[in-house]
Amino acid sequence: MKKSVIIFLILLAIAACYNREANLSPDCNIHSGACIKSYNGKEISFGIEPMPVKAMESLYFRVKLTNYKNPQSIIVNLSMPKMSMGYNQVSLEKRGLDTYEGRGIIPACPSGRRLWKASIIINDKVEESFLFNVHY
Amino acid sequence: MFTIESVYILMFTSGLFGGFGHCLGMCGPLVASYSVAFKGKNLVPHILYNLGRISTYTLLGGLVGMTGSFLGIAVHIQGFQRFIMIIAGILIVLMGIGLAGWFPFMPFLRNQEIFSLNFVQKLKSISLESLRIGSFYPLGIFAGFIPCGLTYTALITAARTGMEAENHFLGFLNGVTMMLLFGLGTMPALLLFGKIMSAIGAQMRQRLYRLSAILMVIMGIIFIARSL
Repeated sequence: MKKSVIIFLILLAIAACYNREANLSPDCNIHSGACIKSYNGKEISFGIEPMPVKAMESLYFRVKLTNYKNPQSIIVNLSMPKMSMGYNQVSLEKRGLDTYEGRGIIPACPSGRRLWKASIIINDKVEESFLFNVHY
Repeated sequence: MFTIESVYILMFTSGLFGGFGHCLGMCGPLVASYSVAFKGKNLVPHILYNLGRISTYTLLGGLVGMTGSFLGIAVHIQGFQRFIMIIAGILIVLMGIGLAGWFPFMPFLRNQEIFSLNFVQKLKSISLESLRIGSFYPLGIFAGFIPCGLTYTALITAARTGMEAENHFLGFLNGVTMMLLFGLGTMPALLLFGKIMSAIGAQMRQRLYRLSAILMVIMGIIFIARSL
């Protein structure tokens, strides 16, 4: 019995750790247009359509790259900070000179959490991440 | 991007890790409630509950795999899922009330001709005071429909492979296999949690049963609130 209680307390502690995402806030207003981040002379623009961006709808994910040399694969990895939401990746295809697009879905979390993180993976390396809220 | 075999492994591990991080938070209240309310000590009811849950996942996986559309299925079951969530919340509240032996409205009901004592007994049986082994599999099937972000993600992946399948039957088989593996992955966390809650519940019934009952009522209300 004592062992069971200890295991239970450990699980509770893990659950408590998972709630610490409350401190994170969006760094991108995805509902008003594409968000841009730049570093070392490179630039990534990330947008989702249609706007406002809603969970449980078919969405177009668009990435525009500036000063990237010949990117082979562009993937948008969707996750919820500090909450395991499983594997959800959208593979993007070239649609213009520097523009890549793909279709995907952001699932709704019945807990009411809306904060999502889109990590842009270029050639198997996470280049940039965007934090944004979705509408339900 | 990935071979189908690696996606199968991914689905299982996604369920396994998500089970500990996600399912305990979302399905934990229901598992805790039936574990505390059920007086048996063996693992069979927990296994049956989980098999019921996995059956629902497998069925949904087959459907999204066959159609290649997650939203096509999700839109149709959304209303039903809300209803399930409300029913689950009411069940948890009733289990809490039943555990503590609180039926404050019982004397009132007894005096009403329309509500016979039989009605009250039925209500108490809903509270799972007299839960039988056979009830756990259907309870699991029912719980599998509870809206869950982790399950949605797994279904989206199943639908994606369904889209890429050569025909609807292969899409169906892929969807079934993927969701079966995902469900099996979530099982260890919920089995362990259920068993621990059963052990704690056995103690609580004698000592802290009122506190446990209050927590269950609160959890049930949160469940109902989430669905509104």
